[in-house]
Amino acid sequence: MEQFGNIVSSICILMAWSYLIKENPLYTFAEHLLVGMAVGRGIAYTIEVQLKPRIVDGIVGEGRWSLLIPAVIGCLIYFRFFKGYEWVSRICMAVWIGYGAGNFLGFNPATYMPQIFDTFIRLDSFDNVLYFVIVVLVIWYFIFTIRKESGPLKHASMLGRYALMVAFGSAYGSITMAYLSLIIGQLQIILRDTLHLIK
Amino acid sequence: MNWDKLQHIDLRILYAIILLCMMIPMFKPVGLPVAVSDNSETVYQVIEDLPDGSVIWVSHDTGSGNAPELNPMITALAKQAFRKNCKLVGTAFFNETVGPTLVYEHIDEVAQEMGKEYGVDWINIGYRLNAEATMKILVDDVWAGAGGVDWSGDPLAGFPIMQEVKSIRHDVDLLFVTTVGSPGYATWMQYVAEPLKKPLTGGASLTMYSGVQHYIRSGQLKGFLGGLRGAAEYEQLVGYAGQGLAGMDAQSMGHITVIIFLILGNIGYFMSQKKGKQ
Repeated sequence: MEQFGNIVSSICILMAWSYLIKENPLYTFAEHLLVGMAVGRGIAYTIEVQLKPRIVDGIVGEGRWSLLIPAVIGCLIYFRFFKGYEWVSRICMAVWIGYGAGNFLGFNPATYMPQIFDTFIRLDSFDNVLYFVIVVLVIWYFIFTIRKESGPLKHASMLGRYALMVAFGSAYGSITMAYLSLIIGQLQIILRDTLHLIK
Repeated sequence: MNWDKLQHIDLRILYAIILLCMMIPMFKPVGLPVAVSDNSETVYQVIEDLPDGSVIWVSHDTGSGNAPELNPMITALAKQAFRKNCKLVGTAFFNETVGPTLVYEHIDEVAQEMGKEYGVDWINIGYRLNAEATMKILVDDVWAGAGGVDWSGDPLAGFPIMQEVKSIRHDVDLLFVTTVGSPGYATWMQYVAEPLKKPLTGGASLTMYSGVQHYIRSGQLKGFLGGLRGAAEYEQLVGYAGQGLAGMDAQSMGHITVIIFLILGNIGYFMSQKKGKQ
């Protein structure tokens, strides 16, 4: 059974890779297969692991009637399918977005404040000096209310831009490396797990 | 010479060459050395420093695309954790199908090898909708956050490990998060690690690894593994050769090939510009 799974994986990988030559029916079939299976499993999983424990077991079984409030608000989203009553679905969206935005802003400082504190460092090593200078230069680059057309202001802004370029280059290098890792993973499925050509 | 040709090599030829260059070392491994970075060393050490029997929360927040980079990290973590008799609680918030299945498969493989039992030494809670809200509930009530069931719908009451793990706040010693996007390390940091001051470590796909460096520097992440390379380094520290180390030769060959083509493309660009001026 495991070998059958590996064969199916390998065939799907090759069908997906065929897109590199040109778009073709094999690729389209693989794409539809993936989307269909993911949606199907997602629905079944949500019913079994989300809805059943909370609605059936929680509300009906344990009598936690307060769960009805979010359940009802959540169901309002389906009003978008009823002509003339689409506005009702906005109640659900309003609760969702309002809570989400407030929640995000409430918890955000916990993540970003330590970043700011980390720039208050002793300038006793080259790394620390470089880090501090680049933070200042990049922030300077993003200050748009002061004209930086000539002189040291312009040069500092340019240095900030160069620092950003280095960061983008590093990110691009990492992305290339990541994609090669993905190819390796798929080659291992084909060559090792399915064909047993490598160890 | 027609330098323009260097800039317009058919992409299919490039793909074929890169693929070929990566396949050769798979058949004939070169055994290129893998130097261990400070970040990987820190990840290993943070786990090593935990008292025996600690509880580690493992969230495999990945999709199918980046899984080959991150799966070896979960296997290596399971090996190190079970060796120290640590307990593992698994979740996966990025994708409802791939993450929960992979975290189960990779921990289960090691658990069977090391004689650890599902429900006693480890458990997989799996995916839950709305990661932020779920994480906030898990902080004080794991049972409520999980909806009372594990990933396959079995009641948590039937698993002895869940008598020990009632809340992340009181019962979890370390968060180990693999991440490819959001929800991922940032979500865990925001809603769990920073408010509770819990140590957070793990690994990221290399697509986002450069973006986590400042969190490592500020100490918000206790080291972090970077892609397949990080996984290989971690495997080396844990002391076994897994899928991470197996892929490193191919990875290095792939890099060399990409670098060569980058240089050739740029030579072509400069030479054709020079020729145009003349």
